[in-house]
Amino acid sequence: MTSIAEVLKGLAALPEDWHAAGCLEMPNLEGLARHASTRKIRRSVETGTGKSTLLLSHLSEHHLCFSLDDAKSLGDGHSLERASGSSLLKPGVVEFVVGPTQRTLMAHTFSEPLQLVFIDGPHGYPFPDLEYFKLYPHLETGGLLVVDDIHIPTIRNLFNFLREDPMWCLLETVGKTAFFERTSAPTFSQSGDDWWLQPYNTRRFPVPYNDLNSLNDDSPVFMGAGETEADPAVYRKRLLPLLGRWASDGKRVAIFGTGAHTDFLWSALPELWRVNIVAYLDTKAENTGSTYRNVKVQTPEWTAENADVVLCSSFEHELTQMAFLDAMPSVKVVLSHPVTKLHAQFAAKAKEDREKAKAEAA
Amino acid sequence: MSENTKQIPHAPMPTLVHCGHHKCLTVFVDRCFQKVLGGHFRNFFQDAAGFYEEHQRYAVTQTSDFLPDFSRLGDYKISRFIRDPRDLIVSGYFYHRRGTEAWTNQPRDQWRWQNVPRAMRADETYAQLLQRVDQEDGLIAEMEFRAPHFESMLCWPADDPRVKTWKYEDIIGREVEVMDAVGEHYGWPDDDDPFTLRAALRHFANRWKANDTLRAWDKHVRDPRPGQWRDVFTPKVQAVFAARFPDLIETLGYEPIARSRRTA
Repeated sequence: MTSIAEVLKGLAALPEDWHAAGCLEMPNLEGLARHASTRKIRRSVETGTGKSTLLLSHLSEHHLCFSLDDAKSLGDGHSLERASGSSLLKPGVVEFVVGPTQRTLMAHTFSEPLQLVFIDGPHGYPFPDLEYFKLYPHLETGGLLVVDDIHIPTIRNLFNFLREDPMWCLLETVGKTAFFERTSAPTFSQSGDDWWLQPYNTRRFPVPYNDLNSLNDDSPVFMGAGETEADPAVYRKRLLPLLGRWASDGKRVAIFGTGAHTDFLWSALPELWRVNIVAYLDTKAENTGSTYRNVKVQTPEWTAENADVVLCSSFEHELTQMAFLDAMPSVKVVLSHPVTKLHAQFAAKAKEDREKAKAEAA
Repeated sequence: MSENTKQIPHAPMPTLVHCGHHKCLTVFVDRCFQKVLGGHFRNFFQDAAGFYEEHQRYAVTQTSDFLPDFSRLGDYKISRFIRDPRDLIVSGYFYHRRGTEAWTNQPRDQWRWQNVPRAMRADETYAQLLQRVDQEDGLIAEMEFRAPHFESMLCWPADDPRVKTWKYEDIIGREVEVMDAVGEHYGWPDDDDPFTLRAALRHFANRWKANDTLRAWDKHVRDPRPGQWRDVFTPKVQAVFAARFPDLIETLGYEPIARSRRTA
């Protein structure tokens, strides 16, 4: 039996131009091995073919690979031919479905749940989304969704959506590859609408539409290449348009948090001076009535009558903060920084709790 | 808010202070910051004690005519506007003579400044003094009134990177650019967003700058042109000034006194 380490070693030895369209780099392959080897992968699906196919043949019991016949399209033998003929491919595991996924995948019927899905097919809009549409209902809880090439804007859109969706928990990104885990959140209906249930929509709605003839994009900006969560520029890009709107609308803003992260927020966004900050919120009873930056500290419940917006300010405690505010529909809750895997987990849990409560009430 | 209210400690932000001088764009700066920061800005004028006690409550504060005790400010960024002291005298003389500000109409026994001009009678106000004496003695009286301010100008450090100084003569006509540089000195980022403090500061600097429109309706600004002292200082005024403040002009980097048109 070939060990995964040996397979990785073999993949590392392959020439750089082994795949005509570019190969997954070793750190990405190692990430794939790391996440997949901790799960029992009975069935997996991949769109596109390459070194990942060779690796997944050792990680999965049955791997279905939707591959373009690039020997025809490119005029010479490339990924499909090379993958299917490679000595690193574990025999009897991979089933190739040849042709454009726009046709082959869409026509395929999945009868068994999947434990791993790797989206690396055509990159143009709307093809990654189509692949996602076809595959997401079949990935079981705890399953791995891998999205490659998140540096391409069309795929970044998908990535941005997924990282906020309750069905997914972003485990990590390795270079241009993102690894998500399927949460226990209910599967989003493929035949309904329900856009208002998706956090990606609710957090942004309504997107300004009055000035669509200009090139200004007023929608929130998420982290791009080279940006980190502690980068003040990320906060400024995300929050400045919101602060401007709150100020012009005369919104009463409460900031949840009186710790180091709120200090950081102030240093990154001195424009907070221009916003009507009515309180800082703290769950510790002993802090109620004290002051922070010359403004009174209040309980989260206080916001129900006295604030329009709550800006949650904490890396570690935003989930707790959101939980406190979840019962106050009149208050708009905004996270100070882009959503991370924790938020996806929380969103899944919150949705689960809501549905449970709804079922109990019924 | 109760003084007994517990305060949760937080990382201090730099103390941002604009230090100016009476008749050196103080109203312009005040208006800009008021518009940008609202109640988070406060002009303490010459109230040093109040400034030390309360500056931490504001995003930006403004003071006039004194050198702050830097050791009481923590981390600080100071913008400083200066003007040729001779023009400060000329501008102040004509402005105070009109009695526009309330304190210029208070009799001497209610005078709250220590620097009482020698010619000021016990029963008259400062505006009355300037109206009673001729222009030459009025300029000398104004010089005496402002002596502590000028002496404080000599004490500013020349090499503190946290203090950035602009001359009135370089600001006029470049108000927007200079106020933006003030914001930059304060450490305010400049993004492509109209809500930034820098963008707001530029916007209001452009609105309040000393242009013809402003002068037409704003009685505070008589004439913002620099170098007017050349037309007004007599040899006697020059001599008194030179004797009283021998190093001031050179220290501040202005032209020596000998080039007055009145002496040519």
